[in-house]
Amino acid sequence: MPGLTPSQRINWQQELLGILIATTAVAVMTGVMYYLRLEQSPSSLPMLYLLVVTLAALFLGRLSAILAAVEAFFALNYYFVEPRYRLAVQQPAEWLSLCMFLLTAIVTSQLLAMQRARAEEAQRSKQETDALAEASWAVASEPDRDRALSKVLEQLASIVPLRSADLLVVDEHGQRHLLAHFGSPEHDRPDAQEYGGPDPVQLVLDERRAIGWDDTRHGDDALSNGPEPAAVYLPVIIEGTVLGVLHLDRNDRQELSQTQRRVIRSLVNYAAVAIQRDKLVQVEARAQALAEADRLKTALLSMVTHDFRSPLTSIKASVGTLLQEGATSDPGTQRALLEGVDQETDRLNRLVGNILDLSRLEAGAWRPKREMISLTEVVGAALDSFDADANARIQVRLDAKIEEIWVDLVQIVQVLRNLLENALKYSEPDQQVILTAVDRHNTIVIDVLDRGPGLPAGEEAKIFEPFYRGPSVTETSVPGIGIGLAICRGLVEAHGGTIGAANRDGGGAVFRVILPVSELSS
Amino acid sequence: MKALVIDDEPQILRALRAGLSQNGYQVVIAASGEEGLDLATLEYPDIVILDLAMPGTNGFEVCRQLRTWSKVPIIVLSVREGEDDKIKALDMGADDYLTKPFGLRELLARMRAVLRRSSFEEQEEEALFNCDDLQVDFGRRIVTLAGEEIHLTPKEFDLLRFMALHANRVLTHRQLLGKVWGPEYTDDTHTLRVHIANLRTKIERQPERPRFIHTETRIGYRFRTDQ
Repeated sequence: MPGLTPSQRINWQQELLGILIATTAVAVMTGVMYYLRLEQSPSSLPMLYLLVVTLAALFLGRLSAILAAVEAFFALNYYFVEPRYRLAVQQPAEWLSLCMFLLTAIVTSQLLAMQRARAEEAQRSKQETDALAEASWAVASEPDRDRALSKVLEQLASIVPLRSADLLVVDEHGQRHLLAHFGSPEHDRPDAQEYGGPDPVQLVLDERRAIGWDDTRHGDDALSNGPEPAAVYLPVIIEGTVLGVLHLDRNDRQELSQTQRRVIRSLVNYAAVAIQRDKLVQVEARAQALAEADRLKTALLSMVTHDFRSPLTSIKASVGTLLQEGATSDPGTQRALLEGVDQETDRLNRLVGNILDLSRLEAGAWRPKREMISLTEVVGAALDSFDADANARIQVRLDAKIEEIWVDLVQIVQVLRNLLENALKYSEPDQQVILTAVDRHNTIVIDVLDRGPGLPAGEEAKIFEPFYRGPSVTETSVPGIGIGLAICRGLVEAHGGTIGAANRDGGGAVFRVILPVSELSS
Repeated sequence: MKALVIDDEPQILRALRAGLSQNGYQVVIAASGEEGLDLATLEYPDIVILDLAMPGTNGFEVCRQLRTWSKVPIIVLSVREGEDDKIKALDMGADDYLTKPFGLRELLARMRAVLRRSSFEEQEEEALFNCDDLQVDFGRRIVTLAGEEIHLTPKEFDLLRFMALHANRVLTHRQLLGKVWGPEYTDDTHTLRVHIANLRTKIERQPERPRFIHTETRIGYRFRTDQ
């Protein structure tokens, strides 16, 4: 009988108890009638027995009811019908009472069974509707693919008794990934491959057909040798593409009912939708990243034309002047022109370096190679790149408690150098720039403070965008600033830290870098 | 002084020939690695300036072959991103590096430093090393700063001694660890960093603005006598 649930299965213990109760009930009824001497009103006797039979049919099931009917017939005949205390059927009416008892027993129990079956069917169909509704809701509302899939598997388990369920997908390289799992831990199951049979997952992927699914016995050779004869392997298909395989390890080998199969199919479709949606989201994200890269490239191009042309123009002009025949031989002018060329080439060099760094950061190719390095060494290496005049303007206050920090020396030195360079550039030549570092809750907080013009209100976060330029920054004054801060942010974030900027009390800006001190605190 | 410049970029050769000649060097130029190796055997230069990135026989190969028979000081030229290249060349026996683009003044300073160093090393037995108010007595293993004796651990002294003997020359982590700790310690960069940090707190007035021991990020350290 397909579709039996455990509650319907014949339980002989329960049946035996029913028989016992029915027999007792008939005996008790007989005793009561005998005691009350009811044989004097013979018409009530069969009625009372009928009551017992009906009750037995209602509460104890068909077998007990039939037994009660037969017992009632004999008891009636033996105790109450003349000749008494002897089994002898003399009148056809007595056969009638037996027929009546049996008919009542059978009809009542049958009606009841039908009603019970209908109720159970309704219950099951509600369960299935609920499962489908839950799964549909999970897929629609859960943005995380694996969590949505886990919920679908949970619903599956409410439809079919399962030991475990796994959902595998195959990526474009043929690699399998377990996306969701339900039930007993996966490693408890022996590997089907060890049994020498064909790999059921591969079979499903190749043939796009389910295994262990229906009575066609398709793919049974892949299962019968395996450790899980009751397993089911279903292809997860969307728009004609096999995304993966759903593997169910069932509790028993009972064949699945039509409805169960329909519901499982629907649940597998939900899973397919969840997987497909995740794929589309990834495609979307990639497209966005490409668009962003494109935007950067455009910005880079326009910056290159601006920022490269102005130093090139001045170099060309200076050299042209120097090359001109019969030009001024005033050594002072010559020297000034040449110094200009020197400075402009440095500017171009910095620009090229920044662009290279930025492209490496954007490509994600610049992972920090971290080691424990003393804070003094990091700061020292940053200060070392400034000349004596600049160094005289930089005040350093380091927290003596910080000994070593876990950073990539080159990268954090570059962050400090960029911040200090900006601070020096944007403040008047007689103004001091302050660098402080303090330890705070297992992080190191580095501040660079200046007395420059400060930041335009509301733009504190924007200045870390690549190619950003403050409205007050003119084209010629400070080149390449838009890249420097973007590089700082990229490097600090690669360290698991944060960078921010704010206006300083009393004028100027403060740039704050927060870094994890050690491997443990990051 | 004779300098051999090996670079495949004609404009750089032209500029360096002019610049170095003006500063009293006799300049020999080679436009390829092969030519450079030939000229090195013919001309016996006192110093070689070598571009790492060249077609054909590249700078590494030239460096390797030169070192098989010559101790001539070599300064390699590399791009900013080529830290690994610089380390490789230095570990192969190059004496210093310069990052392109560089100024002539920088190049001249480096050349002076490696030339001075190579003459200094010949008189390694000289017992006293002086730099500003730092004095290292190699024989008695005593270090004084402004006349006051500074207590160093034996490893710190060995480290300082090695760096002072190779003053103004960049020393890679590998070289320092190999020479001071031994060949089996060449990868233990952290030990080196800790000792450098300790040494700095003892001999530098402002450890965050070192006068003597400078960090060459990712490459190593340089003990500078000039300021």
